[in-house]
Amino acid sequence: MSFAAVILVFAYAGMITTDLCGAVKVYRLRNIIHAFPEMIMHMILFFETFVAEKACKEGSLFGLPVGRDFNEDFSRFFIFILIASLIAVYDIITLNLEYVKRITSINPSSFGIAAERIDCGLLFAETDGTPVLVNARMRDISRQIIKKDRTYAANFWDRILSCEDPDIIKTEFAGNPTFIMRDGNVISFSRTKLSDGRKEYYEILAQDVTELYKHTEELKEQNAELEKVEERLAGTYSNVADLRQERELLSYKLHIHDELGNSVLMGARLLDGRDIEHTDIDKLCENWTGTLNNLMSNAHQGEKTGENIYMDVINTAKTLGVRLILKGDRPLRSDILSFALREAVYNSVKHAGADIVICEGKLSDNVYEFKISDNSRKAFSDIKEGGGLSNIRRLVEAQGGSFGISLERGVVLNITLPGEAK
Amino acid sequence: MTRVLIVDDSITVRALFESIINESPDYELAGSLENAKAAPLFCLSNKVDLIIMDVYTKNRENGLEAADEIKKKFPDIKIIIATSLPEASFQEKARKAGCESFWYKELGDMDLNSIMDRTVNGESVYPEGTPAVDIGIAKSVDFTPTEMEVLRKLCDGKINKVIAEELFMSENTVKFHINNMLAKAGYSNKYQLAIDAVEQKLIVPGF
Repeated sequence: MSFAAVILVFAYAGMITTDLCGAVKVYRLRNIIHAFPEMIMHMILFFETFVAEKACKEGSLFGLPVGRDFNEDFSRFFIFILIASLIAVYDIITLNLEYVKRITSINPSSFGIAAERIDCGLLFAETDGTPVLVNARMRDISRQIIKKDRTYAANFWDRILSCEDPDIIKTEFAGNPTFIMRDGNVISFSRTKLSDGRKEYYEILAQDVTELYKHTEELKEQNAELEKVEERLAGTYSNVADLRQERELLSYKLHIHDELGNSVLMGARLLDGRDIEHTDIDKLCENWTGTLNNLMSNAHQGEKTGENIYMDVINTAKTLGVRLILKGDRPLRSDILSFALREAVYNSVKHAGADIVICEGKLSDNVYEFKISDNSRKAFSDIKEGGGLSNIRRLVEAQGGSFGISLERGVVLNITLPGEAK
Repeated sequence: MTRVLIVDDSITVRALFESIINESPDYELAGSLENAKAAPLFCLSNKVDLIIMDVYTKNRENGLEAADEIKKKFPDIKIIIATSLPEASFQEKARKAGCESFWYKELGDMDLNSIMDRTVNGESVYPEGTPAVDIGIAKSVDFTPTEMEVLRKLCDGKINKVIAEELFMSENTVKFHINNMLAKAGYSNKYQLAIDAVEQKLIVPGF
């Protein structure tokens, strides 16, 4: 084969390859038909080269005399060969540039490309079920669950939900229907209605949530365990204060007991006439007085019942120089009311400079309404709920009551609490 | 005459302290409260020189917080923190709040008088270390300070990840400390450890 023919053959081969790659890579196989005319032309030229050379060698082409030699006329053919080669190179370069442009810019095929590349099953369809876009992953998942590659959206969603395959476990995850597949993967489906302003579409996603599901199940187990521990700890916490107080009380009772014992022994010796000279009578009387006082206070220590719970608050208020007056109805024993009264006294002293706090209560339809106010003349435009007031709110609302603050003539706390159960 | 305020939720304890003070020629009772939160308010309108402050008072009001508040507003008032809880962090918190002295009510002798005298005279009286309590087969003093910090967070109900974030260590380090404590105490899981620490009052959650 002559040198010129070889160059031409390579040039045409390059063009044919470019046509084929372009059709497959850039324009997708289904568009290969658009590349046919050009490809056919280049194939004709490719084979024509062989025919032409043969004709030159034989001196005739289909019986017609041919007086040309490829190599002799190489200089004439050179320009043509050069142009053909340049066209081939140009085709290759522009084709690649076109490919790069297609994958880096948004164009009509971008969405399709992107849909195939995302890591989940994706289906877009019109509301009547006509699919608009389905990616390969969704088709694959559909085949696994409903055994068919039928991804008509309206029917598809219902068919997904009614999957009866015994090897696939149907469950729920984050409110979405979820399937534990045969291979152990967990696929969660979600459906959303979208609108472009004119028309509505369904978007159905099938996401692999295997890791997330596994961790969630583990967390649920741990939480269940923790709940049991929390229950036990709650019991312990509630006992801490009582146990501590009991232990302290016992310790001091023992001390009082010892003191009483000493006092009795000293008294007995005195009465017997022993150690009279060495006994400090005044000191002995003091000891007895102290011991008796301790015994008296110990007698008052005990469970707070009824009015005692409010008396504690009244006494605390008195110590702080505040007179706490309770009027109207109130429950026999209410820790919440007691807490609220205490906080009101604290705030009156701290912020309002008051020395009287009044609590007016009314029972109506088994609901207690309390108004707690003070005699402060200080005006407040705004109140921020600090730790104490927000604690009152939390406790009251936990009981099904309500808490509010009004600024009519100073600060007034308005509390409602359910009445005692009948 | 030194005016003394007593803050303790136990009426018996208050009565005992009151009688000690009343019997003393050097001290005078300024007041007696069962709630720590009331103490700073009391100091606003009453002359107080010395406070005997319980830590765990009525309604879980924290005596250490009240002491801190009082020290900021009334730095001249001397404070003796009195507690029967062997909680590991109380002494440090008391020092941080600026309290002059610290006294374990039930341990050692019941010598409130000498604690008061020494404190009023300018001495700072703190016990050496915290009382040891049994945690499993270990003593609480066998735990390192870092282990105690991890244990405290555990007793607050926090998971390893949150403990690691709050103590600026890795999760593996947290697990390492927990495993060490388990090995010392002879327990198989951290919940037993937390429960025992709270039951023994080595850790008082929320304090």
